[in-house]
Amino acid sequence: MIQLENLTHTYSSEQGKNVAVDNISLEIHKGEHLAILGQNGCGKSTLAKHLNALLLPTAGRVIVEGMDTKDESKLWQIRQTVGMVFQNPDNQLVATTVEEDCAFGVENLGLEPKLIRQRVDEALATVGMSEFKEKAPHLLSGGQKQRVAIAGIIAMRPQYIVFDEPTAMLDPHGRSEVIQTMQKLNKEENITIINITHFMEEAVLADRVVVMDKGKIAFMGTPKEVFRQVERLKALHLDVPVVTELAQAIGAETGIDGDILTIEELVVSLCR
Amino acid sequence: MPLEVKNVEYTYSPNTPNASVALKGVDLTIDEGEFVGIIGHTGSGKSTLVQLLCGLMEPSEGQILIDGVDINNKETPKDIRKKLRLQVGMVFQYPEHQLFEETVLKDICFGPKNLGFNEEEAKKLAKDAMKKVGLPLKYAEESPFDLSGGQKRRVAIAGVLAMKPKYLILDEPTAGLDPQGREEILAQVQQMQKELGITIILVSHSMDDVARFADRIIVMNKGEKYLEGTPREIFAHDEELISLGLGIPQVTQILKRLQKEGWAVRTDIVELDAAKEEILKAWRARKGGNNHA
Ligand SMILES: Nc1ncnc2c1ncn2[C@@H]1O[C@H](COP(=O)(O)OP(=O)(O)OP(=O)(O)O)[C@@H](O)[C@H]1O
Ligand SMILES: Nc1ncnc2c1ncn2[C@@H]1O[C@H](COP(=O)(O)OP(=O)(O)OP(=O)(O)O)[C@@H](O)[C@H]1O
Ligand SMILES: [Mg+2]
Ligand SMILES: [Mg+2]
Repeated sequence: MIQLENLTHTYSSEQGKNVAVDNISLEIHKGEHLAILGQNGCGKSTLAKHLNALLLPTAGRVIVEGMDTKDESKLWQIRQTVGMVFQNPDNQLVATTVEEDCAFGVENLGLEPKLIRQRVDEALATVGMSEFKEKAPHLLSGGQKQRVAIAGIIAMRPQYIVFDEPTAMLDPHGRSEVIQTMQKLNKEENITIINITHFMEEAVLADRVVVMDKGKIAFMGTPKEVFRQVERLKALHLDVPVVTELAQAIGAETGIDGDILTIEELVVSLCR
Repeated sequence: MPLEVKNVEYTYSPNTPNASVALKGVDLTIDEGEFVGIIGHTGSGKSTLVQLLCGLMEPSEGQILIDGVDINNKETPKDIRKKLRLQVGMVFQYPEHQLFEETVLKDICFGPKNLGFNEEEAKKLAKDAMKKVGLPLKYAEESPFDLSGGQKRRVAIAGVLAMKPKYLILDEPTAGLDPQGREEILAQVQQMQKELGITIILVSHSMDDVARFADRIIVMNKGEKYLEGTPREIFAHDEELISLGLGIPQVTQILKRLQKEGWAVRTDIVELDAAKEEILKAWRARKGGNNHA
């Protein structure tokens, strides 16, 4: 479990203070798939960076599997427990080949070389980048880089993975691969997934959706509970999935439910 | 005058073991005032193509013509080539690469100043642009590096809008924007096209966005132009697009699924309102049919 206890983060600069995360308390349960939504600048990335001690609270606490992120002696263990995939892959790739890059984190885990190799191969296959093994990361296109970054984290087999807009730069195929990977890691490996996204269609796949606004949690619930609140979401610069919008537009006449979240659900309702 | 790409080829690191051909045999014409969408799998050459269009890189083979002039022909006077290039505004795929000044306002002023506007004029253009991209003026004196991902992107877009380019190229401009920001920026860009006649080239991985905003779509595949046509024409090729790593807009997917269930619906529809009408029409017909039965 990851516990946020009255987590606050204030950035200080010459312009003054900016409370980016404002007194948030939240428990992230092991094995769950959590989505975090919220408008630009509402504090999602700032919150995310607290989950593996990239940032420390300016007030309150973050406890990862019983370890306080302020405890420096636990830093290594915390980073191994919670992996992070960022918005921009350029800042994440460091080595001279894709394969080395993917191995970078795993090598520090003290595993046998054979096992390292196996994990790297599997991770690259999972994201569909095996054939690029020998290529230099800086020669890849944006979407390709992002897949390598994800492979690097997957190879470390952390208990939690925080994805900060991992699919923002991917083509539809790459996006669905990453989403499927995320689901697979969650369902089959029981890895806890925390997905920060601006795609409502991705949030639908989560067990629980947290909606943030101005550094606070505005509301949360299951995808059905959250996406029923169209007006509230729109007021927070968010939206509902296209399917939901369509279902609501034809709901009055056809009598189908307004809380439809997937194409399958819509088709089934209409054909009933 | 159009923007023309003539038989263009581009190779990264030519004559080295790492040589990689990113574009081959690309021919296109983008007419003045058009809104063109470019889609293609990751690595298909979209960013390479638009960087050639804005004169940032030179093609290995072939020509890029702006208003009929080859922007890479050394025989054309340098100042003329520079002037042509300045007509093309480009929002890069990763906004961090574009930001470098100490404050947001200075950053956005950079382009207009480069075009010869004085401090006052540049500031005015910059503030107007901030409004257009939904960036509150309170951020004007902040460091661009202290902003969130989506805020940085808005700064980068504002910097280019402030220059009022004749041709505006946006490489994945909405990646990382919240749904409202996405909507606002695309609507803003469309307004610039409709009201000011600015030519728009939008590179995007969102089939829904290009379907809604582009007059014409160009599909890139493995460095080549694979298809071009109106959104309806392009998204009729659903299976082909999926095999290219792409997809079709969500409303089109819904109509295709209904058709598979035996509904008499058209499937060449890409907008939500039109899809709604089409589904209701079919629904009424089915209901009517059932009543008679
Ligand atoms: N390094 C920093 N220094 C100062 N302020 C910052 C810094 N990073 C972010 N901020 C500010 O903190 C607030 C929250 O930013 P954060 O990056 O957490 O937002 P976000 O929800 O991830 O947004 P986005 O959807 O755009 O990625 C914003 O007002 C931003 O300007
Ligand atoms: N600086 C570079 N050096 C060498 N090769 C490169 C470089 N930049 C891109 N490439 C290669 O050129 C090809 C086209 O890349 P490009 O960035 O144009 O693709 P893209 O369509 O914009 O992809 P994405 O959708 O991921 O942004 C890719 O195979 C990529 O690996
Ligand atoms: Mg963020
Ligand atoms: Mg690109």
